[in-house]
Amino acid sequence: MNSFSAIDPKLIDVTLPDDTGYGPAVSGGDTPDALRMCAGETAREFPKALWIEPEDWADKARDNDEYNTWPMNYVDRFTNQNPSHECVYHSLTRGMEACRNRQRGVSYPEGPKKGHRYEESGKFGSVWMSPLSGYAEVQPRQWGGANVRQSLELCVRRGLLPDKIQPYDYGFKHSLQGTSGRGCNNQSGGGWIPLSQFPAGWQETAKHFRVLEAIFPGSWEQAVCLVLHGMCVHVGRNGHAIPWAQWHASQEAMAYPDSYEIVRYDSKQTVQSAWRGSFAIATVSAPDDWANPAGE
Amino acid sequence: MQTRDLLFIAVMLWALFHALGDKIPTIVPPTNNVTAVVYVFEKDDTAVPVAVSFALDKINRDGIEATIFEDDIVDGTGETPEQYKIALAAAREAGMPVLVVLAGDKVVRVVKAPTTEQAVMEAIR
Repeated sequence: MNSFSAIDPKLIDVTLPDDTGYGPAVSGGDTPDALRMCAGETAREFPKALWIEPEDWADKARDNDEYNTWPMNYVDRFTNQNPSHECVYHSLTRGMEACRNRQRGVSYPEGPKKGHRYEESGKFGSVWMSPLSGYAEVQPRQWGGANVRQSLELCVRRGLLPDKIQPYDYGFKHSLQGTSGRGCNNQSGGGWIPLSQFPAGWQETAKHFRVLEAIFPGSWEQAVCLVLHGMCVHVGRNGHAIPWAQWHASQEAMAYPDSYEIVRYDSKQTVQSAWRGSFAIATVSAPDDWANPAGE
Repeated sequence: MQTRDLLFIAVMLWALFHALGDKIPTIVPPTNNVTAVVYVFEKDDTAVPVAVSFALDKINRDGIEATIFEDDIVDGTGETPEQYKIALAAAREAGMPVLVVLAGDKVVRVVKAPTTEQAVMEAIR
């Protein structure tokens, strides 16, 4: 993964024409203070030990290129939310899965690839979450989107269900379609399902897939540092929520796996204007046995 | 092939072996049946060195479970995951960050604050 390669200008600062689920009606209250409050005891300030001087970012980027340690390297699949309004949860699940893969100690040298399934995903315990399993509670009316503060709180409090499609047959007792949108080869699509129709006892499986700690950067530079240290930084901007997952040092742009099976980029200017209210998932719950992720 | 030819080849191989001497690479098998490697750290104090992450990825692909464990991580019930209890106890005793090498439920080796791929690889040999 080369963070010094040229970027197609058409992929930078893309504003999507349709409502993806993070319009002004839901994003207005996502202030840094509100987000920290919702994260509760899991909220963490930026650790000083993770600071990297900006003049050293390029060197760190080269290291990440060489060792496959970008957050993007821990993302082993795309999702496709189209035409749903689930963007906040598609973003969150990329970060949760990446964090989990990082804890598992396995990276994916080329990151997510459209139409491709890594054999390693099944071999090394990657679990694919269902964005719909969170969104259906935060937005009971299906359309209209979700704010980040409630979405994060839910991932902390009760966790998410696994997608019906997994890279390995883990034998989950409870699972859900990944999205009410289209989905793709690595994400099940399906109809809308309200919380009241979730499979009975679903909480027993979801509790194994929770966010434990979230770091809130205090500046755009700290947000870049978190990405340089292998953590996705979740942000809502321009009506759409996404996870920053790779810093392009030469062009000063942030790459993200968009929930439309494509990698797009935010310019430095967008990063500087959007970092407030962003956060990184630092840790997620780990299983007693990686081959049996929900202990079932 | 005649017996004389076979004898000639054997003599040549013997001569080659002695000429190379200690230059012939040796394969060192993992000792003590290493079953797991865990890098245990506290995120407020340190980041995981990229070369360590890279080494763990390699070890995984070689068939030994190699993972990263932040000391506050819990399982779905809020407890320290069973598989990390021994490594975490060893890490707390030694001081973090630390690489803990396990053979089943026995701690084979503890390496303080490794930062290179070589240091990790040597720890499992």
